This record gives sequence, C-alpha cells and structure tokens, in this order.
Amino acid sequence: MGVEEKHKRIRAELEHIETACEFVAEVARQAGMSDDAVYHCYLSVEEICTNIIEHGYEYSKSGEVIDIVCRIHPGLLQVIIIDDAAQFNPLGLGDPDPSAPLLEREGGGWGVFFVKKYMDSLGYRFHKGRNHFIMEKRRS
Amino acid sequence: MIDINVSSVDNATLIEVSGRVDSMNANQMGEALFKQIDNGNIQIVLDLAGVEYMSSAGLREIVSALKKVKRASGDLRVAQPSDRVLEIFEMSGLDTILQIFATQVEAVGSY
Repeated sequence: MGVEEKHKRIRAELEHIETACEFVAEVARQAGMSDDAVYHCYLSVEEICTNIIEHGYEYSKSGEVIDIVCRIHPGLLQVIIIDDAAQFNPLGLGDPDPSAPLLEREGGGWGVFFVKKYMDSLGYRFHKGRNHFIMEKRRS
Repeated sequence: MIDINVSSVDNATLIEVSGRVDSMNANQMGEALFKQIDNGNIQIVLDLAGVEYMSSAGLREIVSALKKVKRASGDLRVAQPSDRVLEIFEMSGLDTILQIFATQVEAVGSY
C-alpha cells in the first residue's frame, strides 16, 4: 500500500489557523481515525501554527505562509508543518512544570507540551532554509 | 467564535462561555474576566459547559485571570468543563489550583 500525500498552504495569520486545523482533521477522518485522534491532531496543528505566528513570524503580515503536508501511511498519519521563520526547534525547549504553584506560572509554554502528550512521535529538521515540524499519530 | 454571557447570581459573577476557545479568540474570554475583576467583581464562576474545545491559548487567559483575582483576594472557579477541557486542566496541573465544580449551582453556591 502506498503513501498518500496532501498539501495545504495558509497565510501565517491567526485567523487562518482554523483552516489548517480543519484540513488536517478532514485528512485524519478520511484515514479512518477515531474522534479522539482527530481532536488530538486538530489541537496539535493549532498549537504549532500559533507558535510559528507568535514567535517565528512575530505577527508579521508581510505575506508569510505556513505549509502543511499530510502523509497517510498504512499505519499512521504524518503531519509536517513548514515555515520560513528563523531556524528554531520547539522540541529543544524544556517542558513547563504541571506541579508549579500559580504565582510561578507564566501562562504560556503549554502548547508544545500538549502536542507531546497527544501525538505519538515528534521530530524537527531544518531543510532548505525552512523549519519542518513533524508529527505522527497512529491511525488506530 | 465564542459567545460570552455575564450575569450576577447570588454572591457570584457568572461568566458563561460557549464555542471554540482558540488562539484567535481566547483573548475575548480573558478580557471578559479582567473587566469583571477590574470592576471589583472578584467572586467569579467561569461556566465552560458550552466550550467543546480549548487550546493552550484559553488556558493562558485563565491562568492570568486567576493570578489577578487572587491578588485582589477573590477567586475564579470553574463549572462544568467538558471532558476534553478537563483533560487540558489535568495535563497542565491547573486542576490542582483551580476549584472545579460539576454543576453551575455548586460553583455559585461555593461562595
């Protein structure tokens, strides 16, 4: 069985993130994944795209884009989120502490933490001048 | 898109949110919470029964509001989170900091 690949490009603005989430969710549904797995993919795409727009592009509105590639393998869905911001590996950051008292909480930093919990494997590479964040979720 | 409804019930200020709380609109929920705290309404119940989805953007607003209301000697208590929202609270450990109630009546009655 081959690998089916689907692409989507969005403008790197918060109002377009939902389009990316819906695209990946629909691919996951078509791949026969459970409602929970679809939700996990949806939330993960939102978190990563939000980080790229906030920290990578710093809310610039100069036509930056985010590319989303979905590869449906026989046993898993691979979602690759690609951007042109400065080289940055979100997996290099430490995790926030769930046991931290309220006053020591910064509020942020939870997005990638949730992605780590919800997806089965994560990876990062800088290729041809672009950040590639790679997420995999088992189809069953 | 989210809807936010604010009312007074007994001793509490009730903020009912419905919709999908994400990075696009979580600030609206935060602004609603901050506005009540700034107005001196510091016994707040945040009813999330209508929220089917919340990302870390929503969590960030709740943490900010909780810090602010605690500094004012008040509290922010949550009612009726869905299983998925509750899971977000649990993974982040916020469930050990926030008081969470299964019903709106219990949350309001806790003040």
